[in-house]
This record gives sequence, C-alpha cells and structure tokens, in this order.
Amino acid sequence: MGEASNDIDNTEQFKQSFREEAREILVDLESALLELNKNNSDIELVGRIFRGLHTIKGSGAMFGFERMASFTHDLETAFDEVRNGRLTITAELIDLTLSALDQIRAMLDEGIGAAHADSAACERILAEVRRLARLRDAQAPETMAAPAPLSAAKGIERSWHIRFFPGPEFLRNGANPLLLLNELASLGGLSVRAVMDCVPPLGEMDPERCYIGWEMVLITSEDKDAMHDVFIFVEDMCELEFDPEEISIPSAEADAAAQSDKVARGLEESRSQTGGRRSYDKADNATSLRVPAAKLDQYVDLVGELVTVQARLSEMAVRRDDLEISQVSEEIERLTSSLRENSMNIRMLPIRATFEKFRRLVHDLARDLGKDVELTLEGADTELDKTVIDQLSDPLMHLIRNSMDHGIGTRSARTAQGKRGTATIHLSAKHSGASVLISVSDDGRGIDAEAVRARAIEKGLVAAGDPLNEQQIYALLFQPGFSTAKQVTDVSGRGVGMDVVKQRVESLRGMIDVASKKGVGTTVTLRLPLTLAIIDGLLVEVGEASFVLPLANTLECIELSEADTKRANGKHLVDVRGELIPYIRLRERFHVTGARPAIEQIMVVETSEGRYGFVVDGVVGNCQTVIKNLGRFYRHVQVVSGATILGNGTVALILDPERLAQDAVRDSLTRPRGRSAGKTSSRPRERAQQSVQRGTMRSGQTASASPATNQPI
Amino acid sequence: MSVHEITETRQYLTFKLGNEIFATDVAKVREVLDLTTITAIPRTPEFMAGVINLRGSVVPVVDLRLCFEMSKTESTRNTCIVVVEVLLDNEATVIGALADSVEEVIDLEPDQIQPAPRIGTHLRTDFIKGMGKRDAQFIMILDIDRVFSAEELTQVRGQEAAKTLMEVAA
Repeated sequence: MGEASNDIDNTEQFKQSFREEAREILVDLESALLELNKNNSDIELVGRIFRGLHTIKGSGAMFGFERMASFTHDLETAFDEVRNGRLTITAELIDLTLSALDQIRAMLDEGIGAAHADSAACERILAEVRRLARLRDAQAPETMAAPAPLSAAKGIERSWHIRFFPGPEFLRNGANPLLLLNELASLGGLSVRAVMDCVPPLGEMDPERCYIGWEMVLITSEDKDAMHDVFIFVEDMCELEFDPEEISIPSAEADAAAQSDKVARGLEESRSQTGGRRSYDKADNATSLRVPAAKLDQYVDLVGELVTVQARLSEMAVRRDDLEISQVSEEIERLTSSLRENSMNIRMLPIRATFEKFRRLVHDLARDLGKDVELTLEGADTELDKTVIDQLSDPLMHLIRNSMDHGIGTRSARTAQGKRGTATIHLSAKHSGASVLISVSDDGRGIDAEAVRARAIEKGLVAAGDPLNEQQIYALLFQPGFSTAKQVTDVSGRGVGMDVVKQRVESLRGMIDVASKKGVGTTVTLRLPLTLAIIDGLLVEVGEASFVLPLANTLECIELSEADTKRANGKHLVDVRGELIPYIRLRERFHVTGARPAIEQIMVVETSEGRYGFVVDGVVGNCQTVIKNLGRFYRHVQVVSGATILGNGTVALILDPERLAQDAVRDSLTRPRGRSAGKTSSRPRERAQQSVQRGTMRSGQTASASPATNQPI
Repeated sequence: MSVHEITETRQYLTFKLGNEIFATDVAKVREVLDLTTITAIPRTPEFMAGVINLRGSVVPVVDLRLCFEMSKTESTRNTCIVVVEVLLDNEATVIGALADSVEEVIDLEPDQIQPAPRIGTHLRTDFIKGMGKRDAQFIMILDIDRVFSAEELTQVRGQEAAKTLMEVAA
C-alpha cells in the first residue's frame, strides 16, 4: 500500500466511503422500519432491516467503528429473533430501533468530530432491546405457530459448497478475506481449500493484488441468507457462488425433521430466486460508481468553461468566413452540446432520498405532538440537479413542520370536524417545462387569511386599510419573524422557518406559491429550475447592451413595427393570433438611451403571471450559456438571475422574465391611479379585461391591417 | 479597524479620485486593470457601475467617485480598475473599484498616520481609516472593507435603490 501516510489516507478514504454507505443504509432502514410499523407481518421488510443492520455491524467493525459494531449487534440479534418468528414487532420495538439508528448516526460522525453518541442513551436502548428480547419466551408459544415453516427450514444441517473468488482489487479496497472466512466458520463446520491456479511467478506478482480464491464446504443449519450476509459488503468485488450439496448431512434433528425436508427444499428454491434477483442488483452495482460531489462539480465547471470557449470559436469562425474553421467549429459545437447535456445528466438525481428522510420526521413529530399523520409521496423518482436537491432539504423540513404544527389538528379535533382522524401530508414532485414543481400539501385547517392579516397589521407590516388579495396575504407568512402561532412550540412558531424557505427558494431562482382553503387544507408549491449551471438562452440586444433570455420559457418571437405601436394607441399590448399579450419594453424599463429601431422584436415569454412580451431591439440568436453568479454584491438585484461571458469576452446579463413581469406588475400597482387614468389601466386584472374587450374589437381590424408577423422559434 | 490598530509600517497603494489621493492597504489589492467594457446592471444604484469579465469570472465594479459624492467617473487613458478582495458579510469577495488613476505603492510608518478628522473633509469619515501625510499631500487611507461592506452598500444604498425604483414607478 505504499508509504505510511498514504496508508492513513486510504484508511480515511475507506472510512469515508463506509460513512456514506452507512448513511444510505440508515435512511433505507428508517423507511423500512416505518413501513413495518404499518404492516408488521411483512417478513421481507424484516429481512431488509436485518441485512441493513448486519452490514452496518460487519463493515463497521472492519473499518474500526467497534463501538458501533457492538451496539448494532444487539439490535441485529433482536431482528434475527423477529426474522425467526420468536419476537413480534411492536411499536415500542420500532421506536426503540429508530432512536438506536440516531445513535448509530452520531457514532458515524464521531470520527469527524461532529456529534457524539450519548452513551447513556445507548445503554438505555440496549437494555430496552434486551428486555424486549427476553419477553419473547412468554410470547413464543403463540407466535411460533405462524412462521413455523421458516424456522423448520433452519433446523436442518445442510452442506453447502461455496466458491469465493475475490477480484484483483479486493485487497486494495481494504477488505480482508481472512475475516470473512472466520465469520463463515462461525456459522458451522467449514473446510477450506485455497485455489492458487492464478498465482503468477514471483517476479510478476503484484503484492497488492489478490490472486487466490477459495473453495469451501460449510455444514450449517443456517440458511443461504445468513451465508450471503457474511459477504454482503464485498459482494460487488468478488465472484461468489453458493450451491447446496446433494447429500444433506444426517443428524438427529434432521431425521426428526425428515418430513419437513421437502418443505424446506421448496423454501430453499424460492429463496434462491430472491438470491437470483440480488445478483442482478449486484451487476447493477458493478456498473455504477461512487464519485465525490466535488469532483463532479469541477467537471461541470470545466464543461462550462468549454462551452464559453466554444462560443468564442464559433464567433471567430463566423467572422473569418473560413470554411475549414467553420466545419471544425460546428463539430466542436455539437460535441460540446452533447457533453454539456451529459454532464447535466450526471448531476441529476431522483429526489426520493430527500423525500424518504421526511418519513422519519413526520413519524417523530406526530408522536411528539400527539397527532396522527401519514406521509404520502408522489413522483419521488423525479430527477433534478444535485445542488438543487441539496438545498431543498431545509425548506421542505420547515414546510412539513409548519404543516404538522399549525396546519393539522389533533385526532379529536379532526373527527369533530368530520374529517378522517389520520391527517395526510402529501409530498409531490413533477416536471413542468424547465422547472420542477415540488409541493407539500396537508388536509389540515388551512390558512386563516384574516388572522394573518390581523397579525400583519399588529406587527406594522401593512396598514389597516390596505387592500390585499389572498396571494399578498400569504406572502406575509414568509416575512421574517412572522408567526400567527399563539404560543411558540418546540416545533415551530418562532417565525424563522418560512423566512428560511423563502430565502432558500429564491437563492435557487425558484418561486413559492401558496394555495389554501380554510378547513380543507394548504398546499405550498415550490417551483424550481432543473439545473443551476447552464441554460439554453436567446441572445438579444437592447441598445448597446446584450441580454440572455432563458429559452425554456420563451414561446415565440414577433416583430413589432412602428405602425403596430402607433395603432395600439400607447397601450402596451400586442395581438398574437387573437390573444392579447401585454408587453414590457426593456428599453424603457432599463432606461436605455438612443433611438428605437423601426422594427423591434417581442419575445413572448410564459411566466407565472401569464404571458408577457419583452420588447428588444433585435435577436442575435441561440446560445448556450454558463450561468455565472453575480455574487453577494449584487444579491439584491431582482430582474437579473446571473451573468454569462459572451464569445467576444464581454459580459451579458441573464434576465429573469419571471421577476421582470412581477416587477412590472408591482410597479403598475404602486403607481398612483390618477396618473395612469389616461393610459393603460394599472391593475393587471382590469388590464386583462380591457385587453379582452379590445381584443374582440381589434381582431376585426387586423384582418385588413398587416397582422404581426410570427416567427415561431 | 481604527487608526490605533495601525502599529507597523505598511505598504499602501495610492490612487486618485479627482484631485484627492486615496490609499488602500496593498494586501487587499489583487491587481490593477486597465478600464475594460463594464456591463451595467439595470435597476441598480448608479454607484454600482456593473460587472466585468476578469479571465472568465464575473466581477462587480464600483464607481468609487460616486461613493464619495463626486461626479461619475469619466473614462480617460488613466482610468483603472483596482481589483480588491474585501470581506462582505464575512465572505471574501472580489470587487473592482474605478479610480481616475493609480499612483504608486508607498510605505507609511504608523506615526505618519493620524486619525481621520470628524469634520473638515467633505467625505464620509466612516470610510476613512486614517490620514497619512506625505510631502505636502494628505492621503486618505480607506477602510476598504467598510466601503464595500454589506451594511453600508446594501442598506444605505439600498434605500437609494428603493428611491430610484419609486421614481421609476412614478
């Protein structure tokens, strides 16, 4: 393994990879436990939990987490008892195991100086588990009856032929075959023969490679799963076969159980089927690899740089008008484009893991608050950028806590209202264009808009007479320090959570939408971009400046001539195939000086406020842009979501159509009424109505006049 | 940081804004660039001049003259961008500052630096760490972190921005 320091690095690296793996197992264990809570006869789930615990114990010991290994051992034993039908699943056992998982998690982090496991709590948990395990004797007679065939299968001693051929990288990955063989030997009588056919002459031998395989015969009363469990952590790295030997070893017990032997074989077959499925999983594992996120980020950054350079090359090719360079440039453009898509795909992860985590939160909170809540998931396989997922956990947690604490009433309160006693929190994710919609809904009390308003007036956030629509009232909920809770609880009420949600979502360039009906429930929807690194955009010009509009929301591009403007009589509206669309002239919004071109372009963009047109001087063309953050200094800038570097080395700003539209609407709302009386009505709703009326009028005219020329993109 | 904390000889980069000479701790300066194309960001206060492309990264640029209530920086042959690294909300941030010209790097002893007078300059004294004297010239030593600090720029100036917004709206 090279030098000593290298050794330490390696060990640390293995520990780290174990930590990551163990964390995943813990999440899986939690969801399996909670599943089991609902359906406590599912033997498959018990098996899953047992295997998970076993892996944590086994690999924990291998990587020097001895304390964790011994702690997990007792839990594992308890679940082995459950698996053998000698112990029944109770809510108590599940809660106990859940808190044990928390301790294991703390132990995992001990090495890196974070949390510390509470030894007293560990002792208490173990004592409880042992107490439960002892109770089994009392329960045994009644519970033995049902899973009898299972335990019968265990009683017989059988002989197994095991082939174990570690891959060449086995030792390098820090696994120790000797430990595995010892563990296997503890299951029964083991005879081992080493296969050394592959060992090369000494001169050619690489001491870090594993050349040896083993053929073994194990006589044991354990089933195949138990043997498989021994190898569970290394199965990706080795060839492994278990074959039952034809002759079963006669023993006193076996004779007695001769009758049930057939049953056992039948069972064995069904088990080897599940074994077969697992080997499929194994193949799946072998073709995927674990890469540190930082490396991935670096890769994506580099691809981003490449996209920028490629843009420069294309520009140069166009300028030079050299056929050869153009050809190369086009080729590179194609390659960069697929490389970009590829790198984006690598970062896409299903949101499932984040969603699953909340099962535990809901379970624990429900218990603490004395409420009955069920979490349902939808679209957990929806994929989105890893960075987005990483940032989502906190806001979702706050939303769920808020729902649980404020939204949902106690069982008695709910039944009094004629609702189902068990409340539901529904987490869903789905794609919508270039965004992902993630929503948290509950069937609780809903938001009391009047209470929110009263509280806002009390806090001086709004004046008593302010006309506020529902959305504006809900927006108040996301103000820092705002809470309508009568009392602050452990869970929420300090008014911090919603503020955090808003900040985080905004930093992800997302939006929050709240829909609520009193007495029926509340749905909070977060609209987030799929990715944060690169977007497809349209390069447009306004005066001297270049801007990028995200292509994803852009519907089409329409010419706006001087005549059109005149005909509209000062109204900023354009007729697109019968639909009247309000437009915003970026020139005016951004105070660009200089003459307007005779023909401008309207980019029609879909926003959450409806369709809007953005008027620009000209459209340069498509561009793939690497989003560069404007940084802390410009974090208050609203209408620009980032910047990008163009082929000629200048910086172009990426516009945020959503914000631009909101901004324009807000401005027209705050505009004093008197002034706008002669112009367009300031209120969007009235304006929309007006446009409808005007639309019918104008569509008649446009038949004769030249209609706006449409250029679908 | 006040003038009392300056206890050793330090090097300062001096630059001119109008006729005044300003200085900043050389350790804060990353590089000095010739004036390049600055992309203005719409709907931001005027002193936030925009952003530049600094070898592939986007760096904000501030018009220092406007921070000190002078007129807007005119582009001349001598106009430079002094790229400094400052702490913004405890986060190291690279920011460019427009200067009419960059002079030199000088050594100043602690006893050559006096506290900034409360009155007598038309500049905001809280941006000034101290006054150095060299030959017959006064040199204003900037507390560069302060000049760019989030509090100063985003709150005080944020009000300005809000005012601009209101004006736009009206």
